[in-house]
Amino acid sequence: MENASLFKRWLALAACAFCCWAMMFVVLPAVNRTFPAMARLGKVAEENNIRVGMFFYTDVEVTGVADLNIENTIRFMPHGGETPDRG
Amino acid sequence: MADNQATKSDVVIDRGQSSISDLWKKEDYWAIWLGFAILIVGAFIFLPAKLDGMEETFAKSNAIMAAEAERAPFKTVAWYKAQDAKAHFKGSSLPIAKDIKAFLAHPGGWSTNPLDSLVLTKEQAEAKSEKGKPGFEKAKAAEAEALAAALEAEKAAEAASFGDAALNEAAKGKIGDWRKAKSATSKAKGKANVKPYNVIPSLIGLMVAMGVFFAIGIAAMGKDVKGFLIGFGPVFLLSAFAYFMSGQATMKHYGVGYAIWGVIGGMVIANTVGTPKWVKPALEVEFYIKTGLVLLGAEVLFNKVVAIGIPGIFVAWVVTPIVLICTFIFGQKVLKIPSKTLNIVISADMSVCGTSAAIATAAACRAKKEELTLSIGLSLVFTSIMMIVMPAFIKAVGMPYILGGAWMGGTIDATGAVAAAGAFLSEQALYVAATIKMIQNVLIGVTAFCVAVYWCAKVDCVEGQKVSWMEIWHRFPKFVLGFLAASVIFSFISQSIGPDAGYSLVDHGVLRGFSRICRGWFFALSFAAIGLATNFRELAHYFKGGKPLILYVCGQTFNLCLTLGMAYVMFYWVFPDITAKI
Repeated sequence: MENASLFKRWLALAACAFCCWAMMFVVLPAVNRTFPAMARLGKVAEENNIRVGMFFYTDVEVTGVADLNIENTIRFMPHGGETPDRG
Repeated sequence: MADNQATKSDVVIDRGQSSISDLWKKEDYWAIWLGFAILIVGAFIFLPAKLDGMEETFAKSNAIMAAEAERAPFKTVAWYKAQDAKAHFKGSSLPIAKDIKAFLAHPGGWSTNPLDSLVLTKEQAEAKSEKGKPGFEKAKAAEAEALAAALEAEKAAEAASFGDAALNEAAKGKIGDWRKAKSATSKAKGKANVKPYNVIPSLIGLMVAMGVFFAIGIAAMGKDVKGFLIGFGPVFLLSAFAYFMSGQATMKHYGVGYAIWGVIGGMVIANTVGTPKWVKPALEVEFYIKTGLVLLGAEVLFNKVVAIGIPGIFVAWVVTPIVLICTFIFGQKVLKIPSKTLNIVISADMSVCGTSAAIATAAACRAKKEELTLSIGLSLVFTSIMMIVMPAFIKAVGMPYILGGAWMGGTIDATGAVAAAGAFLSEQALYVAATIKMIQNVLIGVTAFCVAVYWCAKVDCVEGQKVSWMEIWHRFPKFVLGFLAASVIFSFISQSIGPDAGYSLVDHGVLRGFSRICRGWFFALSFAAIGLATNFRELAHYFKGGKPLILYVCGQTFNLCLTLGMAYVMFYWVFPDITAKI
């Protein structure tokens, strides 16, 4: 009885592992094929080395680039040559 | 988080107590000591670092950028080259930083072969590099061509004294193309320069080191050290497994991160074969989370709040508290959600910045681990939907991309998803979206503190009971003080050494090069422990009636409307000059 119960529990674990495998290699890739927008977004994330699941700004490399760019834009905001040369 | 809260009321303790011995006996204080130990080590390694030529390059580059800003009405090639020269200096490029990164490395990315996440041999690395070389050469040639075109267009605009709007726009366009080509070269360079790795020995070493690290606190608190150390191995292995699963290519696309995999993996084990009794002494969920939160505090730099000026402050710091408070009140008064802690955790998760806000808020109000799990699960589902639907909607209605970026930054929960959705639109949208989300991330500290004070003063007491300030102090979750202290100290350091050195030594040194990686591991441990201690039936109970889902949907709808309105007003009515230059 105890062994049967243990067997069922291991079987349940195997079933869960199978479901994870199916989601990873069957279901979600099928969703990508059905919804091209999803595949395109994934490609964009891969090209920009973005891990979509990361939740804080220091986990995402590109936020450092964004921060630097915007911070320098505010500090050194281009404003030259805006009056046409009427000379 | 508490496992034994009374179900009929929110009273956790009737009267708190504090004593000096808490400093070395209580978990909150040990989270502070251990967290600060890591931060101090990081500060000693990175802050005094001498990166060759750093100061001279900063001075020269800033002078060039100032001169170019005076010269032209747009960001010129020389302006960008000066910025790139500054960005080259990163504390994370120091030899010791690379050694630290190698030691703290978690399983990496993989597609179909799981072993790729753990080992890449020298031969495999060389083969990959060879494959990437033609692409790199092609990208370099394209970049050189784009640069020549950009310089020519800029020259043409300059010949007209920058007075011809059409020539200026053409020059901006060509410079934008050059930046894209440069970015493509940088990515191609990575593919042509693949390094071999083997994370298995470092994972074993890290497991031992982390076990001993936390065992110090366990011993001081008088808990079972031997039991902890024995149980720590499986918990660490599960957290490594969580990283491994999150690194799979499809999982990366959908944003299924280590937090969710830690919970899923743990719950599957706990609810099938069962969590072994000898593992349970290591299920120190709160200890891992609180230590991780102290490290997270150092990443909450208050000077980031003004990164994009006043528009960013209004979108991130005015809208967010309004949405948070309104959603909480809606949950209490309209939906009548039985658990106040579940309500505030979901409200913070949805309105502030997702998982990190949920973790901080849950710890501050002592929410149950099932409530945190439910909140993060809701966030993941809606993040996946929003990161696809929002860019598509923005394109379909012809919304300006900067407005769209600000909208997404203020509403999509996870920073990674925000960045991906922004990148889908344009580089500018990406920069604005990521910056707005970063500013929102800083709000975590204030949120955690306010929630902790509110809970101590108003919630964790009998109705009508007047709570003194001493009583609030006794009940206050002390780790929040460590979180705030880390934030204040590192904000001060970053501000005082200047924005350029702050970027190089604090942001890309102490934080991204060291403490962030430790923080990631500590959160992974906590989510693995949560999973191993969670019963499916207990989790399902919290979802009864669908009220959490209704709360999230209603709150997020309000968030979307208010953020869009505020972003439009700020970026297009009040500060159009900032928008034009981004």
